[in-house]
Amino acid sequence: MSTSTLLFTLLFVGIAGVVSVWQRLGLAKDLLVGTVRAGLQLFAIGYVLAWLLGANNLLAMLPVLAVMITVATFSAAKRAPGLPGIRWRVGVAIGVGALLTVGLMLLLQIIPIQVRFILPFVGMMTGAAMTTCSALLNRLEGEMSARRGEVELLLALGATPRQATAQVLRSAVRAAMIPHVDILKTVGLVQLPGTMTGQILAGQSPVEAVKYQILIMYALTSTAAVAAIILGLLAYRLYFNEAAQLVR
Amino acid sequence: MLFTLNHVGLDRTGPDGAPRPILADLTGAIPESGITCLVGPSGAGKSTLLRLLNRLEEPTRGSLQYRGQDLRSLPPTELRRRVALVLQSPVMLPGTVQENLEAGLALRAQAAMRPGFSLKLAALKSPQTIGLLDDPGAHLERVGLPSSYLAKDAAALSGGERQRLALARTLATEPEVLLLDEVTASLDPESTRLIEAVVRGWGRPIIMISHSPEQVERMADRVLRLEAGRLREVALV
Repeated sequence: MSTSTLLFTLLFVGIAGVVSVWQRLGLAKDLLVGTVRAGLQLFAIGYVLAWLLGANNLLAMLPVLAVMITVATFSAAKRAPGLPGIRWRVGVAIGVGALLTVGLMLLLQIIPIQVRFILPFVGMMTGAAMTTCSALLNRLEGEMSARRGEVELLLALGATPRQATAQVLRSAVRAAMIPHVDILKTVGLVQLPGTMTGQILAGQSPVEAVKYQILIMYALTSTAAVAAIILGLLAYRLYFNEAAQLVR
Repeated sequence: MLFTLNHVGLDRTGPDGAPRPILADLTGAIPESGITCLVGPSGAGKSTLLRLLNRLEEPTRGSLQYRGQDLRSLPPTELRRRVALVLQSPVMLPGTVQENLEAGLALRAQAAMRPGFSLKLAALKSPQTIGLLDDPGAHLERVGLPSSYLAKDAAALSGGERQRLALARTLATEPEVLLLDEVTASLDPESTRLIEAVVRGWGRPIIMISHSPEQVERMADRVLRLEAGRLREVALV
């Protein structure tokens, strides 16, 4: 793509900006910041990737993975500002969720041990784990406040915090996973996913592109499930003290 | 003594962020047997006292003892199973009447084992659960509800029926002591009479809050009045 063609893409953001100003959505400033950030971030990672892929240095890739997971952690943990200690728990959920899935792909030799494969896969899995963790924290907070009476009733009868929150956790994990399950059901019918589209645009055969997309979709679902369950089991404890009393 | 209170105080944080005393400095004792009625003006801290006895809350100052043992020395889940609290507005767990009863039975079964995740009896599969659900209808009939109600959605019950199910669910855990927080406050005379009969026939120590002088007269073996942070015994007429 030539530089002038790339500049034309600003037209799309311009349309969103016009709508924002016209309808007084108050989004113009955020749109501007978002546009500049998206451009800079993508260019930066593009150059980093170009260097990493050229060198195929697995050790040099590790800090990049760490940055990805850290940024995702801070972003998802923002959903629960009132829960002290939530950040490392989100970090564990995202890290395990993403690395476990990619680890399995490597172990089963579905993908080769190469930076060119590992990095984008970890990135995609981290993104999925991040949105799952955000959704889980959102729902957990809502359920804990809506079903406080139920939780306290079970505590009053001698249930452990884990027993008292079993239903709450189930709802929260379900809610966090539903978008991924819905995408599984409608992919190819409603949307053509980015990776597939990208590969087709890059000249890959559509059937080959579909195979990778299937791998990605299944792996995303597994990552989401693992991240949601780990975070659910780590986060519910934060609503109780050591005397099994509700503290928030 | 069933419960002993030593200079118990509890503060809650007010809307302005400053601590607001709910209980100032409560000292007293609740004897072992019979039905103890707890009376006093609204806001005196009666419900809070029951929450402290069930350890849903912790006192800011002082200490409480249950049969000579400091409450903090007992695992909270064990204490709560032994000293069960029934709340004024009965909370129904999602599901059927039977599932609500099962939660109580499962907690009782688990008293002898390591607590698990589920409160479904079937999921426990332990020797302790055998026989507990042989006659679930009996638990309902104990509180005057027909066993045909077992399959009903608990959310569809009337206020009086809910409170009776809540009582049956609590009794199913086989507690040593029952704490009742105005459980008949919003019920019709018929439901009130039924619950009173169950409570009177239970035979283990009960501490109940009541705002109705007639009910206190009908039920109480002794009356304790909580007022201005003091707990004192009132002579029965």
